[in-house]
Amino acid sequence: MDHTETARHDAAVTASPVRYGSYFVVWIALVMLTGLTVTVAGLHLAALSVLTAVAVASVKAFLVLNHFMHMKHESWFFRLMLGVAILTLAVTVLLTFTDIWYRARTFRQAQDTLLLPLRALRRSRTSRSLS
Amino acid sequence: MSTSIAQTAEHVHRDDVGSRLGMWLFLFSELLLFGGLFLLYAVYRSEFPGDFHFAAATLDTSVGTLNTLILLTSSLTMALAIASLRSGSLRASNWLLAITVSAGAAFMVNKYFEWSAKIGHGLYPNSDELVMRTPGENVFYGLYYTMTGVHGMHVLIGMGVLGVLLCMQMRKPRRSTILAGDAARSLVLPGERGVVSYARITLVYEENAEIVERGVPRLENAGLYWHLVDVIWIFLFPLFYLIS
Repeated sequence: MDHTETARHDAAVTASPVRYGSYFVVWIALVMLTGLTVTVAGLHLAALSVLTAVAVASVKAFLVLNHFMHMKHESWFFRLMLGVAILTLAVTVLLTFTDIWYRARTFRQAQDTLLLPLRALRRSRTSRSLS
Repeated sequence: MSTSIAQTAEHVHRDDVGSRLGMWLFLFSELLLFGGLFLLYAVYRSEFPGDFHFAAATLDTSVGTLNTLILLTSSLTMALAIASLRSGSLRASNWLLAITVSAGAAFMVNKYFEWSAKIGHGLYPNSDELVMRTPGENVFYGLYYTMTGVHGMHVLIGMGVLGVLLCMQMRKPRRSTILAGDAARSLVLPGERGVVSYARITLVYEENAEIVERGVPRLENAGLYWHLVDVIWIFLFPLFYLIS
């Protein structure tokens, strides 16, 4: 970190950029995006609806992180850490799904082995209470 | 001003950037905690798409939307509370914090009614009603209660932290006013009202400046937590309420 960067960072942190107006603009954008995502969900676009819902949610999360959580005023190190955290999550999701996509469908069986005994237990209990 | 801050920093060995870094590290662990739950949701959703759609249709979209707007607005008031504390207006900051905590309470009240309605319909994990339904629906409601429950717990913790900070911000100036008043009364002869009020105002001002200077980094870190809770809800809301 050179001198100008340090100075810029210190100025960003201590000079306290109090901009009430920009907070209201961000809030209005967030409310409008909420309206958008509810409207799109009402259109029943099937596979697209999940995609748009996650996309709109990501934009909203970016707005909150950048403006309300002051990520745009932080140094490169904070952004790097956030990037690493999000990347870790993305890699975990991707690796899990490569497993799920190429694996035989065992979930339904697993669920049945879990649920069927529960149902049997319920039935035996109700029949016992009836007799 | 700059020298006084430097002296104070030297005195108490405070590292605001370091404490913020620590807060962010904690938030990343929270991100991965909820990330794991979202992954679980994604995997089961890809396994039982039909059941998830059917079960999600029973959730009340209007209540979910209302709660989203409440949390978004509470994030705004939180950011404004920090900004006004930074600019030195303690009163405005206190009011905005109170509104933030109240919004959190309103969110939880809505959540209470929502859960009660679901439980009233016999839709809760291991209920007689749910066990007889499809595996996908069982997984959906399990995830619904776990994820909104863990999130609700975070809202409660955030309300607690903000409530404590609000009490700290509210308590000190009042006490200092009384102390300053007493000190001034014992010091100043009767009739010298101008001097009394001057001493009182100076002391109160210094006390307030100290609260602001010490309070800003604390409130900022608490604010980061509150905003993260908002970010998590931003993803929870469409995935549970809008996919039917």
